[in-house]
Amino acid sequence: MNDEDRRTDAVMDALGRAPRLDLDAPRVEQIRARCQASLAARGRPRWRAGRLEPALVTGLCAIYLAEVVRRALQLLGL
Amino acid sequence: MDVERESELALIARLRRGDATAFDEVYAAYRPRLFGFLLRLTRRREVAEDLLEETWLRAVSHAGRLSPDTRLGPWLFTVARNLFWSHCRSRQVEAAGAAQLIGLWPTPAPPPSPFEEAASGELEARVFRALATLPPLHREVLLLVGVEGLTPAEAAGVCQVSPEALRKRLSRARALLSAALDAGGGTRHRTEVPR
Repeated sequence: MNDEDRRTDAVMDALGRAPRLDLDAPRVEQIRARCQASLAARGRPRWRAGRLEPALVTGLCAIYLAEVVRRALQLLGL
Repeated sequence: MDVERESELALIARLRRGDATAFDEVYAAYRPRLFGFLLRLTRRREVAEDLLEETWLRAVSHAGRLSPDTRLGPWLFTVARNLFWSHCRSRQVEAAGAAQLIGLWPTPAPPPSPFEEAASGELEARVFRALATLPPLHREVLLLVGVEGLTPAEAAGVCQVSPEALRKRLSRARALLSAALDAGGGTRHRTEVPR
């Protein structure tokens, strides 16, 4: 190992000893609270709007279509 | 599989389910590392704080779609790094617009960051002063590998380059850092935004 390699290693070691940095406590809590709120919003059930609505629309369409077919058949005398 | 990796996988599974305590664990473990990374990259505390907040909000919104075998550290650093470069791009667009209006206004070098003063020894202080003068593309590689301890393969993933390109960039970054140390800090480089 030459002097240049030793120097590079010393520099990389110095980088590895970088002091730990952190936010102020109120800012830590502020970000945490925002994220927890976002997480809670994600966990809230949205299936009512997301799944019930298309099922309801599909059902109504099916009823309407069945009625249309029934009346058409009635008109044709079948 | 080592215990650490096993507990990381369990943590990811809980995060995917939206477990609030899992988020707290990840937040406590990675917040200082991500903040240090962003502060050393941006050299501006308020920008680093804003980018950190955005990083965590993005992480939370994507947690449900995480792959079960994700490596948390590299993933979080990728989110933070991408936000940093988006910030640089928007700053460049703003600067270009402003330059047309007011001419080529000189940008003063930012004051020394707290991490420079916080460095424990003389060598560390010199190294971080020199590091701050490197172009961000090279600074980020040294931060990811030298400070955060990511493997070159993980750093390549974070920087979205091939391992070979990362090795070259790391080697170039080391050479630039040495040159900056010789120059006693060196001159400030322009921010080159990767395409």
